Amino acid sequence: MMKGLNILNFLALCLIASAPPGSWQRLTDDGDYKSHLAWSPDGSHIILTRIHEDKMSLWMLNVSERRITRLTLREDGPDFDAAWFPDGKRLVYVHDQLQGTDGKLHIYTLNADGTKPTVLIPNKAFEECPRVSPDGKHLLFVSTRDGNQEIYLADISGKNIRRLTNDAAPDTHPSWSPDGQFIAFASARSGNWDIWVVKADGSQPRRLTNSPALDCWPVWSPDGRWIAFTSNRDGNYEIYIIRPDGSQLRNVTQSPAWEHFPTWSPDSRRLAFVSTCSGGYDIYVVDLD
Amino acid sequence: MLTLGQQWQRTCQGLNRREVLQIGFATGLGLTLADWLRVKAHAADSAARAQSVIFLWLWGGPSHLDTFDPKPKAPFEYRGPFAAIPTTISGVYFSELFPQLAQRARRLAIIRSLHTRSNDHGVAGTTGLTGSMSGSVNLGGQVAEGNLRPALGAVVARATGRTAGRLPPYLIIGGRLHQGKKPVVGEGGGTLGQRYDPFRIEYKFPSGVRIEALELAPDISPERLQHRRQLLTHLDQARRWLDTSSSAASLDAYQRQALDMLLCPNALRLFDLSQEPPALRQRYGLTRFGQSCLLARRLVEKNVPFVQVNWSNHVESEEDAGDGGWDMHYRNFEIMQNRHAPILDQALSALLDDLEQRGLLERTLVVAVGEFGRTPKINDKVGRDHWEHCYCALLAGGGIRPGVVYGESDDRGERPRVYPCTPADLHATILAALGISPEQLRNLNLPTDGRVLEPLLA
Repeated sequence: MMKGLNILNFLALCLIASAPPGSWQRLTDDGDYKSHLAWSPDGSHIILTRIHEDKMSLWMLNVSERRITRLTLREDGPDFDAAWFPDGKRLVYVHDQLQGTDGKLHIYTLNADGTKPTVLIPNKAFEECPRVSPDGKHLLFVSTRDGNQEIYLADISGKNIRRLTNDAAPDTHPSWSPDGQFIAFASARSGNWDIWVVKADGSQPRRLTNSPALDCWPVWSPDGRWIAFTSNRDGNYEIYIIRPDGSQLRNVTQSPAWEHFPTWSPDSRRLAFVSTCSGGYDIYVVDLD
Repeated sequence: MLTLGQQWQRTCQGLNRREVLQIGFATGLGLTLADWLRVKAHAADSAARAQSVIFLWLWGGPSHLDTFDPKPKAPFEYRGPFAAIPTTISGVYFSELFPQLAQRARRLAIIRSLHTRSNDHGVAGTTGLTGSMSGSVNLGGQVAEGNLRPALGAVVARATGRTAGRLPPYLIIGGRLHQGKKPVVGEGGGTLGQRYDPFRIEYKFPSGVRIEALELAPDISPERLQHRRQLLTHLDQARRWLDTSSSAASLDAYQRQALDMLLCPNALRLFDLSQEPPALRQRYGLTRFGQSCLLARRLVEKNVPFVQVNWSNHVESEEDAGDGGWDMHYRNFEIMQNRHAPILDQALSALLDDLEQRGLLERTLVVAVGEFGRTPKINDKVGRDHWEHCYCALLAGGGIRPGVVYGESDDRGERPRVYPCTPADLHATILAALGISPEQLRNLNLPTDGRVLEPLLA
């Protein structure tokens, strides 16, 4: 009898796992591993990292047509974690130049049609998470050039690099506020990953989330009212939103599957993210209204 | 299927429908009803013993601190950014990246005091697979003294002397192991000879099963076998080729075995994961590793003695990007939290649940281990380097006492504090869990240099 009940429970779990909530809109169905989503400023595309046929590279998803096309493919190593310039015409991203069993991370720029890959921040240490400021004049990125992961600010030319954060624990995943005045980021300075906010000059860091669980990948909404992030505080990865003052925390996915890498639609009304609710790694959109 | 069910009603009282279906499948693979009943009788004689092993080879060397031996009280530059979460074993914690396995910890035995002799993937890999560094090849191409030992899977195949119908006794799901561009030795029959080499199949998401042996045949198209229909077409070609081609005579015994098995329609069905309910496939995760674990379950269900699942071909986490290896010299925490840990947590949890629900866990020993651990101190690239001095392994199922933690590492996870043990000891324990005695091994001229870790045995 007990075994029968276990089987029923197991089947019920299977059914739950296989059914994305009805309110979610599914944008891809290939199941390939996907990560690092970034919605274009005009809302027409999402740039993402995809592992397809054993190669990790950048792919562009046409949102209305639900069509995904490869943007980059290099033999010397993977490309990942792209972000948009505010004009929607160019991207910044990370290229990992593999060397033996090691690699070297560089930050590149690229036209949105996949042409003209150009080094912006050459490898000095491990450079990643590039994010262009809302006015297009500056670049945030993460580097280990001073010994551990810290957030740096550079002119958009890649020059005049200065350090914004300074802590023995790693700081990563920066995201500009839409007015360019603040930066949200993930930091382990409180003992494990939490979301923090700092002024754009690096001053006045304050802790936004306070959970013993993992909080990471903060993304500021274009209207400035919310910060979305990933957390495993309920036992699995979910997408949460929170006000920049730390109030109104809300789980917007509430699924037994794995959800990660949120990105906002330009009107701040929808979130796209990666979910394993159908077994593979596909992109879904949830309407926050 | 229905016919078999009706047959049960009339002639097989005392067996349940699943067992009848198993008989049907087994006889289709060349196992007679008498053979099958002997297997069942053996199972009854050794209730606490494993009959099959699923060996999950976490190639590249997972960090023990970021998986199953976290050090929450260590300084930050050691413990890293992940929290430790309680498991269902009182006082035992896992990294927060493994919530599903933490819930299932009472089914697990955990070794926290493994150490090995080399921090070279090639040498430690060979040691982890054979129990000895003899004949291993390091990154520089130097070959260690001594003859290359047989892989654990080959030893199990030889010692049990069991086949499952036409299925080979030792299968590897996954490609050949490499570090960089250099192949790693230790997966084969070693001193037992090619006869005990593994039969290798690969699962690639989303295209499905790829069978290397079939591609080796000279007159057969090397196109990947992407779909079942395509696979059938290839097999038809293979049948015709085998009947007519003069080059068929040049096939070695291994290729013949492979083709012999593949030409059996039931074997083909065994590799066809579309026969599983989609919801169950999703539970494992639609990743290469997840689906490989499901395939492993299908194989042990048919009494294959040893199935090894290779996490990846290459050690590097970025290369071979299917799932990538565990060699995270840089971006360790990003890759762990975004890919490797969730994939392993989901797939291994689903495998344990699935085996238990089918009544297979009590006769299947599941082992998850890599070739070494990773440096407890985080390097200046946000990574962890090779660490041979201390690492961990998970065991569950047949022959193993659940809820046991064997050994303990020191406060920073740098060295075993008590009960240090080696890959050879792990192998000896696995063999003991299978009921294979040192005497049996000696009689077969097989190595017996490991020490059985008795507290782990049921």
